[in-house]
Amino acid sequence: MAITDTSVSAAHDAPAADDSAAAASGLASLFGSGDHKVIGRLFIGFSLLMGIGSFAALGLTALSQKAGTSFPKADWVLQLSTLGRVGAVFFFLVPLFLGLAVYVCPLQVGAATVAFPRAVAASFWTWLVASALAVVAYAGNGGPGGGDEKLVDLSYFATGVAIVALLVVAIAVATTVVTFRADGMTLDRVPFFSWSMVVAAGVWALTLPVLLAEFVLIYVDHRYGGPGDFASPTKQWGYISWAFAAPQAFAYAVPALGIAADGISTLTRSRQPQRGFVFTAIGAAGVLSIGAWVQPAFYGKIFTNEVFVVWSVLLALPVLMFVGGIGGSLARGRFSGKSPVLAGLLAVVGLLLAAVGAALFAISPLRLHEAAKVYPDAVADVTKNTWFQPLAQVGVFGMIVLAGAVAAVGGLAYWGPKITGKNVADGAGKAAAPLLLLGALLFGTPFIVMGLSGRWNGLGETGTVDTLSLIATAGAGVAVLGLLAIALGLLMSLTGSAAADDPWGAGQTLEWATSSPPARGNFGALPVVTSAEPLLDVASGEAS
Amino acid sequence: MTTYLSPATAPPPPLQRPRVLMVATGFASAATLVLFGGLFGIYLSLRASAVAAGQVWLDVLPKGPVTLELTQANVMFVTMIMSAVTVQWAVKAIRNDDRHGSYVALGITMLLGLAFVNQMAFVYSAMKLDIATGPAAVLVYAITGAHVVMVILAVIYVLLMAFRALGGSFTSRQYDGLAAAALFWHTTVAVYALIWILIYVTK
Repeated sequence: MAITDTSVSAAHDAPAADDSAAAASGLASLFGSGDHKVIGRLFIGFSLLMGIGSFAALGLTALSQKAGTSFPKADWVLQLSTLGRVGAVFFFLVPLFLGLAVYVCPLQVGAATVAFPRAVAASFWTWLVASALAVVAYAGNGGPGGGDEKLVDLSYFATGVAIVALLVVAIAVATTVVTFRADGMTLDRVPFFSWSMVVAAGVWALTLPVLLAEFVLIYVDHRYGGPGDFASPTKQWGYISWAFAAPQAFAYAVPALGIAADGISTLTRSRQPQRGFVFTAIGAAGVLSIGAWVQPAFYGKIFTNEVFVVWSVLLALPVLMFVGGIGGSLARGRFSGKSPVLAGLLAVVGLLLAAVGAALFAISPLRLHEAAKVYPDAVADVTKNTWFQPLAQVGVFGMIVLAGAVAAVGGLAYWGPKITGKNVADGAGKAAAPLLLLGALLFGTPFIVMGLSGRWNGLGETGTVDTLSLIATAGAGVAVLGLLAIALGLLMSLTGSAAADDPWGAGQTLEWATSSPPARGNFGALPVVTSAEPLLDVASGEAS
Repeated sequence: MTTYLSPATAPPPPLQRPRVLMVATGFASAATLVLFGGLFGIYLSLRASAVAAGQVWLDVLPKGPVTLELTQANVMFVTMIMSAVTVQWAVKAIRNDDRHGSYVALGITMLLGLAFVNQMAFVYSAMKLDIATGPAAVLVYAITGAHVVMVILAVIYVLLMAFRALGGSFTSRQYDGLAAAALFWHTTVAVYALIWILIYVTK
C-alpha cells in the first residue's frame, strides 16, 4: 500500500510504514528499507561521491583548453564536458538536496515518515543504477554527440530514467510537506527548508519534463530515425543545453536558500522577524529560475530577446530579497560563526555572484553569448558545433552549482548530528564551505572571462587562454577538495561522541524535538503547533 | 536518550484528511502536461517554420503516402471521452457507497484504455509514416508513443485502485485514491484532445 498511498496513521503515528525493513538486519535492512532516514543517508553519500567525479570531469574539460594538452585526449573532451555538467546537476546537486530533504523534511513537519516511502526507496535505487549506467555509457563514447550508437542511446535512456526517479522523490517530499504537517502547522509555518523544497519540487516538475521531452525526441530519432535533425551529433547538446545554463540552473539551487535561512535563524537564536519576506524571496527564486522557455536550438535570437535580458537581470532580485530577510535575524539575534551560518552566508554570496554573471551574459554589447574562439586545434573539431554552449554560460553554471553545494555543506553541518547521531566537527563545514566558494570563483570566472574573447580578441590569445584554463582546472580541484572535506568530516564523526537531541541548544523547529538520530516513528505525541518556531514556544511555555 | 515534547493539555483538533495521493497525482499530472507541452511546442514551432519555408510538413494523402485518417482518430477520441465518463462514474459510485457500480465502472474504464492502445497500434500499422523522413515523423511517433505509454500507466494506476477498492479501502468518506486515479485519467484524455487537434485535425 505504501507505494501508492500513506495512511493518516502512518503519517503521524509511530511506528512508521517500514515495519518489515525495521525487522530485517544486515543488507536486507539496507536494500529493503523504506525508512526515510536510511534512504536520505544513501542519497547523501552517493551524491557526494558523484559530485567528486563530476567536478573532476569538469576540471579536466577546462584543462583540455590549454594548448598542447595531451591529457585528457581530444576525443575524451566531449564526454567529459557533457558528463561533468549532467553529473553536477542530476547525479550530484539535486540528489544531494533530495537526500537532505528525504531525511529532514518529515522531521521538520512532525511526520513519522516521508510520503510514499516505498516509491522513494525504489526511486533511489533506480537513480543509483541509472546514474551508474549513464557514467558507463559516457565513458564508452556515448553521451550527446558520442560515437558509439548504442551507448549514445543508453546514455539518454539512463539519464532520463535518473531524472524521472529524482522527480518522483521530489514529488514525494513536496507531498510530505503539504499533507503530513503536524496539527496547527499551516503552510506558512513550515520551516524554510521544507518550504524551499516545495518550491523546488514544483519548479523541477514544471521544467524538467521539457528536458525529458527533448531526450525522447533525440532518443527516438537516434535509435529509430535517420538520424535526422534531433539526433545529429552536432546538434544534440544544443537542444538540451538550456538545462545547464541560467536561468534554469538556478532552479537546482533553490533549496540552498531554505537551508541558509534555517541555519541562520537557529544559530542566531532569534525568531525570523521577516518570515513572509523570506518565503516570498524563496518563491520568487523558484519562479524566476523557470528556464524551459529559453530554447536557443529553436530560437537562435533568444539571448538578445528583451524578455530574456530583463529576466536575466532580475535573477539577482530574489537573492537580494533573501539577504534583506535574513538580515533581520542577523540584526536581532546573536551572530554565530558556526559552520551552518558561515556556509549559508557564503552560499548567498556565491548565488549573488552567479546572478551577476547571468546578468552580464544578457548584456548584448559584451557578446558573451557568441562562440569564443579559444579552443586549440586538437579539440576544435569536436567543440566547434557538438557541444557548443557559450563559455560564459559554463562559468555561470559552475558558480550556481557550487554555490548550491556550499549551502548543502551548511545543511550537512547543521543537520549532521541529527543524520549521523554523532557530533560533527564544526571544522569540516568551516573548511568545506570556503573551499567550495573559492572553487566556484576559480572555476566560473575564467570561463566568463574567456567568453569575453568574442568582444576583446586579446582574451582569446593562447597564453591568456592557457592561464585561464589552468585557473579553472584549479577551481574544479579546489571544489573536489571541499567535497572531500565535508565527506571526511561526516565519516570521522561516526567515531565521535553521541549527539544530543538539540546539539545547537537553540532548535526552533520540530526536528530538534526528537533524538539524534530519531527512533522509529520519529516522534511521540506532539503538541499543536502555534507558530513557526514551536520549540521556542515550548521553551517559553506558550504551547497549548 | 529520546526526548519528546510534553503532551498537549487540550485535545488536538481532529486530523485533517491528508489527500496524499491527490496532491502527488496533481504534481505528476502537471509534470506530464509539461512534458507534452514541450513536445507540442516543438511540433508547432517546427511546423510553422516548415510551412513558412514552403516545405511539406507531413506528406499525407491524397498527395503523399502518409495515411493519417481523421476517422480512426475520431473513434479514439470518442473512446477516450467515454473512458473519462466511466472513470468519473466510478468516483461518483464510491461516493454513494455503490461499490458494485464502482467495480463495473473501473472495469469498463480499463477496457476502454486497452481498446485505445489497440486502436493506436492499428493507426501505426496503417499510417505508412517512415520515421526517417524527418522531424515531423519523429515528432508524431514521439508524441503519440509517449501518450500510449501514459495511457498504459493510467490503466495500471486504475487497476491498482481497483484492487484497493475490491479490498474495501474506499468508502464514501475516503475515496481519494480513486479520485486521484481519475485525475490522472482525465489528464490523459486532455492530452489526447490536444493530439487530436494538433496532429490528426490540423496535421
